[in-house]
Amino acid sequence: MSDSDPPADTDPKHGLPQFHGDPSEKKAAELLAREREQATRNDAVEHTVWSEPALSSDLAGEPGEGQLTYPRWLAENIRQTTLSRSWWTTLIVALAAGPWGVLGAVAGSGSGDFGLLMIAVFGPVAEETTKIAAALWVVEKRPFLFRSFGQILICGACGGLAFAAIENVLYTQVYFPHHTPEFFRFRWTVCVALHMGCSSIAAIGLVRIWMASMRDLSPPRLALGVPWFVTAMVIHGIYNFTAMLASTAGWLDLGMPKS
Amino acid sequence: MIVTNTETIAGYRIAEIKGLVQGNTVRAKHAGRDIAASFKNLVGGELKGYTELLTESRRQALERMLSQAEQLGANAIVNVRFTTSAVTAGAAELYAYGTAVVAEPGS
Repeated sequence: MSDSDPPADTDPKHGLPQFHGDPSEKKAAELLAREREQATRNDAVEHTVWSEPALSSDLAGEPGEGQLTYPRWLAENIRQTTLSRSWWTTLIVALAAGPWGVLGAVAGSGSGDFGLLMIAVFGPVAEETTKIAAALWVVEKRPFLFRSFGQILICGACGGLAFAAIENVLYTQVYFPHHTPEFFRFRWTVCVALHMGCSSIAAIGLVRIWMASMRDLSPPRLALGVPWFVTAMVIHGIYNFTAMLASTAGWLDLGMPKS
Repeated sequence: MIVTNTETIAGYRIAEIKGLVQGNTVRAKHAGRDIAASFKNLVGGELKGYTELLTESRRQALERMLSQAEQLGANAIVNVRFTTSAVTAGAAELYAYGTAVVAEPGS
């Protein structure tokens, strides 16, 4: 040991009086206490031990009467959700789905210029995901807010319709203000049908997730909807690719000038 | 609630094992603290905003684990471990887990 080495007794583990406690502990305790006060049963159910797959009933036993479990939380909320609240939720989700989808699509397309990949893969994936994002949140976090699968299908179809409408306004008023009537008709028929159709297909996936959760009073399993989400994305991607190919090759002539 | 990272508790015997309990959280500070921390990074020293972030995350993960143990009627958690993950940038992600037990005085 040389004279320049620091003495071992200054190491924090020796707990000399000059070392103070971490002031962040007090702040964190206060912040978390505030958050606990604001937390609801909806937050608590996400962390209940009774939903843990690793829990063995042989060791842990069964939950007592007053214990919060996912099935009890769901059943309780199903009972408490009124018809009007459910339809207000449907209306809000249906109205929000389109604009939210456009925002998501814009954010997704701003990540780089990947040409064909963007048109056939990234674009459809981003759009089909964001169009149903609001309804997916409800199905995943508050499934009791929907009372029938028809409400979810309405949200999907309306999301597609609103998305197509906003996109069409952008195309006909901003990108191509001097468009032809053929272009206008194409946008308001084929493109609307595509977006509504794909969103409705994705909504079938949501319905499958929702129905399983409500039937079994179990947490939603997203895997049940994935095949339908992927189908919607693939159909959208194939359409985009085909439309681009057809317009480039001259098979689809809407009278628009070549860019 | 006794919480220990050892498998046994000195002076107690494990009368009952209730099961695995866990708590996790992913927390972030607001953009202002992130910007302040990036400036502090230039001159060095403790990034107090991030120290707070880590403390909050650790405590919240622990609280959630303790809550699960309480739900099971345990009075102790043994073999407690902490781990971190990397879900998103600028966030502190903590995962605490252990075995909930009923411990009784005696050896």
